[in-house]
Amino acid sequence: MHVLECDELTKTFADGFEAVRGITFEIEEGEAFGLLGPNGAGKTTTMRMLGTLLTPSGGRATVAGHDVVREAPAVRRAIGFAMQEAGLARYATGREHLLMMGRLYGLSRAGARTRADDLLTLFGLEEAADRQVRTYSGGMRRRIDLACGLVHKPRLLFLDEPTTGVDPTSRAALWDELRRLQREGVSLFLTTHYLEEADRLCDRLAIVDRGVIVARGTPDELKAEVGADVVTVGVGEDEAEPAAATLAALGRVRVAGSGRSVALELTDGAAAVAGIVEQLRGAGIVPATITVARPTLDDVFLRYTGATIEEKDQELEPAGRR
Amino acid sequence: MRLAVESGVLFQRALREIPRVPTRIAFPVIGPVMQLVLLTAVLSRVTQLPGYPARSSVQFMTAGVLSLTVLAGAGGAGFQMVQDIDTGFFDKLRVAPISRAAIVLGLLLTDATRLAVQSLIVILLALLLGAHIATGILGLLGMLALAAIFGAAWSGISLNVALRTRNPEVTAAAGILTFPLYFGSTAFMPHALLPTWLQWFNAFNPVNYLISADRALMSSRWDWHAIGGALLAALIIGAITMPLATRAFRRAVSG
Repeated sequence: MHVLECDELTKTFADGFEAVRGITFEIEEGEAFGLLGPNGAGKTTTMRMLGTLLTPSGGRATVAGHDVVREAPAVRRAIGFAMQEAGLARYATGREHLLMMGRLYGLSRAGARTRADDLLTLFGLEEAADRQVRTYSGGMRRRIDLACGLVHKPRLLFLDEPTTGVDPTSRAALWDELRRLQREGVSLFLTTHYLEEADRLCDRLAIVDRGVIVARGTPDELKAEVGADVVTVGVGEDEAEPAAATLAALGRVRVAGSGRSVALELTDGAAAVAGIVEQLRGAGIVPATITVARPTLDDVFLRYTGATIEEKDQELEPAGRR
Repeated sequence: MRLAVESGVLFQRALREIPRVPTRIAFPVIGPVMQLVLLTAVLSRVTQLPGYPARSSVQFMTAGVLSLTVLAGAGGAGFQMVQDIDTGFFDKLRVAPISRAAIVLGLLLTDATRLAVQSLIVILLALLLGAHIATGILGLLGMLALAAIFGAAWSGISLNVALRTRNPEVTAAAGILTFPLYFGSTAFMPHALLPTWLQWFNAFNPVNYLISADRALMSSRWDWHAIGGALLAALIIGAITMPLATRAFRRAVSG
């Protein structure tokens, strides 16, 4: 069953800016699904419409079976939402946030207290629990915000750029926590403009550019679509030409590395390595090194949008538009 | 009832912030306190004017200073809302399955409480300066209640500005625009000594109704006519500002 479905969702802001121009996708129960795209692509706008924070201009969407416009309260009960800005009350402590959210999501006083303790332990925030969040580091803010989104044990967690502005160590820790949540059965819906994050966290993802989805699939499928792995075989001096001739039958081949290596383009480089070694042996050549380079999501992104994601981020979309 | 629990939770959150950010209580009360201490001294001789109804200027002017306290402090709800919108906390509340009214109600309750505390500071200072409360301790509580009720209604103004501009500076400045209602009122001079046009103006000046009620409690008796007038004024202001705030809120919510 799909925990989220949206069909031809659009959003045109009052000033005429078309932030989202017809987006369709669905999220399976238990899946981690990501919208990958540069700033201003419409990811956050899409997420805010699905999270009942913005009214769509067109299209329809359901979350946990409830229409996001007509049944907004039911949608709100089904989801947790960790925002990009980690929206916290600066002068409240971490524990107070959790107690407050617990009560707002309908837990009893005692229930909220137990749940707060559990979440503080889960996210390693026991020590900081009674400090005001304005003293927290960026990573701690994200963790308490995430914990707030989980007080009511939602089926689906919305994560808007979950690790933007978080240092690399905390980022890795957050990824671990998110994967653990997913193992416990929470579906994840995230936006990101970090390729690595999309690659490591998402079961499936959609690349969004200028308000539309330009590609979708598992990270591996997307990379496979871009094409070949590059297998580079290091050989001795004078061996490159004969090696290239030997391997020509396998795929596109060229001499590289100033005559000391051969580069071979293959759809599945890793699987071909054994065959390559065997063929070269047959020709009396012993490869010194073999490396397989897989295409990255950056290659995928480049192919579908005509620019790398960094270049895209430089194109100044109206800043802070959500 | 869910609404009571929800607004109660948000009210508690704001209450806890009061001692953590004492400036929110202290700053708005600085102006009223200066008026109470200095302006009453500057104007101490007005008591000799024929027709001046009190023996000391402090006794007479405390009611006016209390109304200023309400005008100066009632921006809190709007300011808090702008701040919550800024930090994203507002979105966190909006994405929770709670009544939208609870968000506003929590802020208004907070303003009411804060204004009661600020008014208490002003009244205690007035007592220290030699004023007395004719209606005693109950009258003091009555004045605090008036400040809370009138202030909650007045907060609707700042909420509107906050939701429509989302700008903390503008929200803070908007409160000052209501000050002419104070300066034109009977805060400094009794009704009989005001020029005719101001006497006429004050028939429509909600702030003056608050002052009349406070002044009755301060210097004479439980004047239900005056108290009723202040409550009616608060009701009318609330009836204007709250629906507008609700509309602005809806618009802010739907984007």
